Amino acid sequence: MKLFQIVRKNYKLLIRSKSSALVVLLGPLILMLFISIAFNTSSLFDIRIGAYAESYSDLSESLVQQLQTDEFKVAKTDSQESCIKGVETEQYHICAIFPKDFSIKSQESIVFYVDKSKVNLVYIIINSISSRVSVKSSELSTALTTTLVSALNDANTRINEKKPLIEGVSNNLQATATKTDKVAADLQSLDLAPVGAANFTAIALELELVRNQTGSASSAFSKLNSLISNVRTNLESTSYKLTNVVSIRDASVAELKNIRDSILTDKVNTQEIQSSLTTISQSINAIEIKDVQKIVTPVTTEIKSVSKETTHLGYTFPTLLVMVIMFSCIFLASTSIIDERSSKAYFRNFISPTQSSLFVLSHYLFSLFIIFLQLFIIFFIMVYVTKTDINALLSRFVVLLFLISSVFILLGMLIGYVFKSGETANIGAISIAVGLLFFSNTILPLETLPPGIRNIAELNPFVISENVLRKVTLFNESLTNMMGSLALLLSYIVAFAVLTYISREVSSRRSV
Amino acid sequence: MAQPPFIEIQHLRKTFKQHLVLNDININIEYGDIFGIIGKSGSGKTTLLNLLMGFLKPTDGHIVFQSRDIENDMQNVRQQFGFTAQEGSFYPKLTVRENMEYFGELYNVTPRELKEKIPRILKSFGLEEAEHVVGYKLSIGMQKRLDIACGLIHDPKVLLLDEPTENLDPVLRREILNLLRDINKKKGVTILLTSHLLEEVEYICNKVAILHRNTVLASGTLNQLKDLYTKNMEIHLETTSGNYSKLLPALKKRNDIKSITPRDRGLVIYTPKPEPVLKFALDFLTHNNERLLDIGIEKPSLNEVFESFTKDKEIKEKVEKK
Repeated sequence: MKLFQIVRKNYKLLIRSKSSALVVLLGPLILMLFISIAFNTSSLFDIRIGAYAESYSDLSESLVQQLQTDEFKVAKTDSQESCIKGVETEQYHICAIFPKDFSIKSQESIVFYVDKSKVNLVYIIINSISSRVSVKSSELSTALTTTLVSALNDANTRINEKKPLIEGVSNNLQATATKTDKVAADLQSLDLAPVGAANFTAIALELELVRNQTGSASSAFSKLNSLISNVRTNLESTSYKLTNVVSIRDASVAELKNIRDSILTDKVNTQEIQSSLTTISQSINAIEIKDVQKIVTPVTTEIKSVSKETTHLGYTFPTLLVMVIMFSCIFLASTSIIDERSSKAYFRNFISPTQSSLFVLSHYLFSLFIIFLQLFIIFFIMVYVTKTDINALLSRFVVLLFLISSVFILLGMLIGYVFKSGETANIGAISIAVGLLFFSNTILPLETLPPGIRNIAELNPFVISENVLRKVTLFNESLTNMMGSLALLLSYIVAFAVLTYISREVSSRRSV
Repeated sequence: MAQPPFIEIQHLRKTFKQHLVLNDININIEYGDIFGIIGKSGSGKTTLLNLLMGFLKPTDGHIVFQSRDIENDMQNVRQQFGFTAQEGSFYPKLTVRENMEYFGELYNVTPRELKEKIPRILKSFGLEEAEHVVGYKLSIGMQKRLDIACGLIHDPKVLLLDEPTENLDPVLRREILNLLRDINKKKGVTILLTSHLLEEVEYICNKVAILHRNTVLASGTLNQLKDLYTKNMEIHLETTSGNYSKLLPALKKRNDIKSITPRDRGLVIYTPKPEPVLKFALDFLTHNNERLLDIGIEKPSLNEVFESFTKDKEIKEKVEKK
């Protein structure tokens, strides 16, 4: 059968060119191996950080230590300029400038200088460094908050301890006030009114009369009179003193009233203090979250994958696989077409009674056979090494890989027929493959593209292929749920097949 | 009633965009002919072969094969025509047998037929020992034979050869020409070849067409062309001494001699009156005691016919321009 004869011929031509066969067959496998090793980690390696501070504080030293880990190498520079220059000259990936004597009280912040032209690296570094600084910042915050919380707890304890004292003070004040009232009342109740005024004149007259009547010695009466006079004087003095006592008592009573009022005011104040302390204590007690970690990071986030947990390679496997398929298919198909076109026998093929479509079909089948051989090896290794069970996915994988390979094989064949020489075809193949790669999520997310271009890029067969393969691999999606994407892939296959056929016809005329 | 020509090229014209490559070509090729198309490089020989194979479509005119326009009978034409390109048209990395099997199947030869046919072809082409040798390891002569063998694997009725002896040494050239002659005789394959090596065309072809500046100046048997386009005859003369120092000046004094060309150890004298010149030459040699080794009168070579005609054409064109 002609078809198989042509396929067999292509296969023989491939294996007889040993170097080509090795490149075609082993190239993608080796590529896949290296990619697997290289991409099976999301860590950064050998990131060089330049650091400068006019004078290093404990905090800045601590931060430098925090950054100095396996993946980061920190080098202190002599000046800010040399640190920044180091980033420009790629001596450092990032330059960290610490404020002089940096402490938590500092108002200034740490400044990182990066080379934003390295778009694919800079954000990873910023993210990594920010998270490390954030760790230190979080440590400090935790320490400060711990002090704060401890102080509050201590205050609360003390308030609770001293509450009875304050209550005692309040009660004492009340008692004192009561006592003061009583003392004031007692004082007030003292009768200090002067005893009725003695009629010393009458007493003197009476004495005189007695003396006269008795004849007593006037000296005795004089003495008595003197005594009475003294009594009178004393009485008068006492009366005067009593008057003073009354006035003092009244003043004291008034003072006592003032004291009582003051005590009562103090009591009220004490009660207010007591109430405030109770409120403070209640407020402190009312704080539900006293866990320092909770206060420092009140909102904790946890990222969970919607797909089943797998290795980093597992997540990137669909992309890597499509990448390998795309490059293999485009290069294999375009190279085999160019080899055929530049072959001496090309002309004899043309003039034979064989349909062009048969040659197109045979080249397609040949390339498909080689690609599936490679894929078989890749999957065999994957299953053997990772012990992955792909039985459940196998039928869907075969359908998808058939469609994806077909798209890129036909694209490669089209390139082979459109370009005139091997060199231009290779440049064309590289340009197209790289173009498809650029306008996909592999290098930068499509979301970074302007909407118009993004809409076009979403029709990129690489993007579609990657999506469908990822959905099946990671989400176990059924083919019926991806009919839109599959229809697009089929459309590409039809379009590329027609264009390839036309290109072959045109190129045959050109080759004369 | 006369048989129609096997292949008939009628008023064929081919242009590539504005560039005229072939103009009003009329050639008849009979079954069993070895037909040579001669012309200088760029005269349109390869284009004519491509048109014959249906690889190109004529701008005007027709090519009729077995009374059918090839445009309407392309599959049959491709099946009935074999082709051998100037630089060989086989896969250098396939063996002799693999090439023959591959092209055999492309030309609808069944595997069973191939099994029977390939050893026979290998034998007749002297390629038996090279059956399992890859193409690029063959000698140039063997590569050429393989190329022709690939062109004949499907037993075509017509074999087209584009400059079949180009880049071959004289021995290989003669070998290939003999092979073609055998194919023509034994298999009855009509052969149409292009060449600018006129000696080989003269050696193998029974009919020739002269292609010059996009058109056929003449076509027919070699004798017809020689009769038509030259008035001179060739006297081939060779003496034992090979010394013509006396004879040459004497011949040059004669008015009836057009030109004298040394060839090998002898002389070729071109003259419209061969008898008096021959008599003069014989008398001169006898008189000078020179011993004659070989002498004869021949019609002019194709080379002279070609030169004569193309010069005439160029002169005519110059006159017309003036």
